[in-house]
Amino acid sequence: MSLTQLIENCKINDTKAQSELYKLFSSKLFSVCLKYSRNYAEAEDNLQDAFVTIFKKIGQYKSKGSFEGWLKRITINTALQCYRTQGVFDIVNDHLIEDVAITIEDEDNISLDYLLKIIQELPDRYRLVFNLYVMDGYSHQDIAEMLKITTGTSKSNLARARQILKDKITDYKTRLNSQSL
Amino acid sequence: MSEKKHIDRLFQEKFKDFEAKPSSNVWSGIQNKMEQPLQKPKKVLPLWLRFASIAAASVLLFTIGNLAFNNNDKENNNTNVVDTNLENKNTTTNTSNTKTINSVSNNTINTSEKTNSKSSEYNLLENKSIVIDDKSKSKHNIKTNKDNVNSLNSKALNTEGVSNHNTANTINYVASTNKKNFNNLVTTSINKADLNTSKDSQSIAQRNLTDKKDSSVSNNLNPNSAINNNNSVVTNNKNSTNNNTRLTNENNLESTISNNNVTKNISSNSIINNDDNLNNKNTIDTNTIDTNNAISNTVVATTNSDKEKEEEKKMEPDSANSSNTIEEALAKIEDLDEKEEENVDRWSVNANAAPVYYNTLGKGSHIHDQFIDNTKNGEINTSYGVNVGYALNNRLRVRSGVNKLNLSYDTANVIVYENVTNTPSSTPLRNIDFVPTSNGQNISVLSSNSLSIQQIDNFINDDLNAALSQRISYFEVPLELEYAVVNKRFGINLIGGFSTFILSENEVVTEVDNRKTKIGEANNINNLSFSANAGIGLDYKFNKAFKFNLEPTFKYQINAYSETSGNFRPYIIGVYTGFSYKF
Repeated sequence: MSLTQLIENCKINDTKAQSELYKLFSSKLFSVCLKYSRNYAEAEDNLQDAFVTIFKKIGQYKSKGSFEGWLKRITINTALQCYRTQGVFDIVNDHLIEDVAITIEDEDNISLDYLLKIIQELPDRYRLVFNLYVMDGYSHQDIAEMLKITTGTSKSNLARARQILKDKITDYKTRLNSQSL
Repeated sequence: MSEKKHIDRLFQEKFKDFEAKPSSNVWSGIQNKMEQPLQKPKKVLPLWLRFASIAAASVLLFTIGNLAFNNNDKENNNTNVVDTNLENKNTTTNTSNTKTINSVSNNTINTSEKTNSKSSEYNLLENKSIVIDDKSKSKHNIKTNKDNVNSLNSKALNTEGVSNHNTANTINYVASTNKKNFNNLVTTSINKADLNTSKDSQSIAQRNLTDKKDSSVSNNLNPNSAINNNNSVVTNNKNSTNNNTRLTNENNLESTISNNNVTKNISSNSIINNDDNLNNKNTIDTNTIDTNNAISNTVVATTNSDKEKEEEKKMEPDSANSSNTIEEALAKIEDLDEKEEENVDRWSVNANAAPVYYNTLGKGSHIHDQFIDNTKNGEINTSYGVNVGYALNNRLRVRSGVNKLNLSYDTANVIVYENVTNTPSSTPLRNIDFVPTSNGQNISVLSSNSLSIQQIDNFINDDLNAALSQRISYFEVPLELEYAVVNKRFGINLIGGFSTFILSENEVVTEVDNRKTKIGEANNINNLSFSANAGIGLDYKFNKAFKFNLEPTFKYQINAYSETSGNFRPYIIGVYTGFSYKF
């Protein structure tokens, strides 16, 4: 079954097609959820909500642009939605810091698991800004609109996120080295 | 290896192909959430029952309405019968008694006693044979009539004893006929009531039957675990009960319902399966944690997935096969539902009834110039009907239907009299076609405002100051657009549109002391007229399907009358209340 056919079947609430669609995209979208969430359980909740939204709104997908992009946008929005209702966007309020290029030694042996863990450990808004900007290529302008913050705050949050991540990676590497020694 | 690079690049590269398999209970959660809206049409009554209920509701409304109106009509007829009888007798007696009564009146005028003068006036007016005779009061007033008549007769006795017997006899006769009529009325209404109850009981019995079948079918289904078997059972049941076509329909619908029950069971099974998987996974996870090696999660994920695959393979003979069949069964059921679901929530049926108030914006009369200054008042009548709505989208709804609308409009301070001379009235009302009375006499109407005060004092006491009531009955076909401003449990709608009115009944009735006599019908009411409608709808949703409506609506009639006097611009205000049912 082609993707377009699958989408058409999903539009008429065909359970089989929905199941197929889930199988095709759940892993990809779950990775998005994992990045945007605090933990595994929250990511699963988000994925669940995202798919329910997808199946309900699939009739609105007009075959313009990539389907995966559409799915991803819904998933990201679902993740953001959960923070919107929680009102965490207003919590982080600090002086702006400058965006300096933060570089890091390229380490092949840093596990993806660990990187994900430290992303999840970021304060909510840092994590969202970091993901939106770095992982999903949104501009600061977009992020500012999505999170209802200023572009300055977005930039500042990003810089802070990078700093925290860098510190943690460095810390991790020193621990790893001391263990191997 | 230790080349410096931007931290963003590190994450981007690492997460480029990052995928993670969510646990299987995510999917079951999605299914559960998706099932919720699907379950709603399942709870909904079967299609034929919906229409049956609507039909039953409308039939009920019409019978109630008909009963009420028939009663009124019969009462009117009774009074008419009494009228003619008495009038006939009166005319016979009057002709013979004119001289005597005249002499009596002369005497009373001479004596100038108040009580006597009143009675003489009464007699005089009787001589003029006003359409509505006090003697001709309906059955409720028979006793008082008797008293009155007796008192009158006692006076007449003084002058002549022969005519008295006649009138007394006629009164007895009238009373007996009234009783008969009344009895007939009662019996017919009772019969109707009996019919209704018997119908109800029948329908109840049918429902019970269907319920029993329901339970039997579902009982048969529940103990079986394999769906295919269930289906076959259902079909067997169908075959066995294929006696009536209706029953088969019911069975079809109910089998879907019972199937749905089965799907619930299945979903719970799948959840259990999923739980099993979860447990397995958890054990694997703990194992990996125990080893505490820096094995990346991807590896874990792959092992997980591998193990899951193995498990799935193991499960296949047990559950996977069944899950496939479950999926197929689900798909089939969903197919069935989809056909219905395309219509879901789009259509709605609304049965409503309303008190309606009819009045005019400007000062004028629809009857004649002379009534422009008379006090007029609209009466509160009833409207009832059935509407069908179709939702264009979430907020907009088009609706149409049929309403029966009864209106009446009173013009007060009118004198109604019958021309003794049999000549047409000097100023006939151009807008009313009068129906001649049974003895061929013409009726004339004039505004008491046009008489001088002295005349009124001499001729008329308050009792005889009649009102002229225009009664109109329309079939209304509205076409309205409803916009939902608030679409919550309590909804607020704006309603606008127009109605087409088809005239069904039209009569002009005189009212004196609540006694009504038809004197003719208006000839200036258009058979087809229109109105502009605006209203505010308030509704309360009991659930997705059932809704209580309250719609105060203003209807401005555009061409109800072909010619009116003065500035007569009628409007209708109705507070339409009812229930609507979405499907």
